[in-house]
Amino acid sequence: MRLLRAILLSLVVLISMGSVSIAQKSPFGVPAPGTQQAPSSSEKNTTRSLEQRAGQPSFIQRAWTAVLAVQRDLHRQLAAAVRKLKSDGGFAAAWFLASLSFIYGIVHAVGPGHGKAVISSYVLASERTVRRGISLSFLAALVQAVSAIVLVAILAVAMNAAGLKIRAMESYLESASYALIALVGMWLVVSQMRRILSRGAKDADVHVHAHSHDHDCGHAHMPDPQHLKGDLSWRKGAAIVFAVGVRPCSGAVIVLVFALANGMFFAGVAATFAMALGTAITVSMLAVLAVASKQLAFRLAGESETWSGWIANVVGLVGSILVLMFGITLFVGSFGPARPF
Amino acid sequence: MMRAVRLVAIAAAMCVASFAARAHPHVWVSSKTEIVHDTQGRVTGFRHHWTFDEIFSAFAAQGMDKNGDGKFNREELAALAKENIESLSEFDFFTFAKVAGKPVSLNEPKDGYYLSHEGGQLTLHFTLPLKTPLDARKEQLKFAIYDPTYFVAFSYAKDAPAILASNAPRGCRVAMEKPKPASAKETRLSDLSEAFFDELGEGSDFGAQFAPDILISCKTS
Repeated sequence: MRLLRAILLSLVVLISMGSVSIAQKSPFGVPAPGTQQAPSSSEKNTTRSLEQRAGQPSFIQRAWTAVLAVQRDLHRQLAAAVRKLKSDGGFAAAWFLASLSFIYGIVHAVGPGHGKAVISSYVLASERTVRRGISLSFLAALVQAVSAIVLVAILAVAMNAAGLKIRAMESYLESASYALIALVGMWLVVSQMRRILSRGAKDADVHVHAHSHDHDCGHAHMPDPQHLKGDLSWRKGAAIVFAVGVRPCSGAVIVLVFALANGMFFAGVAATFAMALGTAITVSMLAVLAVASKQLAFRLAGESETWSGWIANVVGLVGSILVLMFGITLFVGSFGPARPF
Repeated sequence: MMRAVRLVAIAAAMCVASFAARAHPHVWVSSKTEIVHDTQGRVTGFRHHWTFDEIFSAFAAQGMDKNGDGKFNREELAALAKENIESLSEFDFFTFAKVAGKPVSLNEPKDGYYLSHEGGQLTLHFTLPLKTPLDARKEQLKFAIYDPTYFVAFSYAKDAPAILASNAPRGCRVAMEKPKPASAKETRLSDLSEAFFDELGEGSDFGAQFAPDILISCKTS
């Protein structure tokens, strides 16, 4: 029975880690698709790609085609919506653009670069409530939207800079964001280590934890519940939101410039916020998944202080290390050759 | 039991998310290619005409209208075209050619590339020479256009995605390779939603490694 529980627990913990890693296809070593990495050797790459393609259309291939078609469609309709708003004006056209941007945001955020992996790892390491997970996701999406608007307002509206310049600035901000994520990760790892070490000392002190044992209220059974609350937790949350948010949402940037080219900059700004709302929903789904699986693990641990302490340490530490590793890997990966377009 | 259901649901959600994460293009390109031949009827290169989507076109052309006439002419876009071509070489020009299963080496484009702007869309025109000319009457040449990093979504233009130059030998033709039928197991899976996929139409969108090859073949007479 004890063994069964141990296996089950490990499984759930693994899954909660998994919910983080899904956001980033290949967090370590190989760059995630969409991060800017060029094939290293052209000849080798050609061979590999052609071999890969030898496979015939499978279910995945067809599904893939479908996903692309949906995205293409959204992309086209977004352009059409901006033009319609320009020619017709009015509430209906504005509403259409906003709802389309919202859906675009949801779909778009599934791709890399919206901090899903980072936010979920952070939440896994340091947050206990679904509500906090959701608020962090929304705040990060909001900051990304503001970052895109400020970038386009300064470079395109005020300075009439070229698209390539905007792209270059975007990639600086991207690298800066990844560096900041790595720093926050470092901070998390250090404070988790300190927590674990000081707890080890305190454990000798007897178990006089003052937490309720009401398992139906949805609260996790975690040692030192007060420890993560308060100022420090708030500051860490703000730091991770800022680190992720510095990087402007790339989809928003091109839509903003498109809107500007059509003389509809403010429609673009509105669309960007609608898009951010959609992005936030996708990101928070993963954050919630991370918190929920963590809570499930604690619930499975039941009354056992040993188990819940063990889970808190492992999950907290692994989550923090993940934030650090994502930061480092993404930072290094962000120095690929410039994209042609 | 509920717990097990939940675990399965979580696992399923993960699969979907990790799959969808790969489809994340920001740029959509519709490609047309002319197969260039020399006087001896050998294939010497690919003349690409890549048309970008409206949103990306507006982004790329931002700030390029130097004379402020609301139009973008070839000179105004020259710097952008140069930048595009130069950075494309890092990505093998997204063109992957092969003969008898072996990759064919390509050279950097010579001068004569440019960007045009029409109906709100940019088109990049450039010729990609083969390192050594190939005789399609002797060997079958294939090529495909795609971005292995999924950042640019290429699709072959619906209308004439590839044509032969007028001086191509008689009996030669270009064709899109038809995907072979899937294996039995996969067919069973895909049958579930056959109707849905069929609606999308063939040859409209292809992600990266799923782009079909374009074949250049000649009747041997």
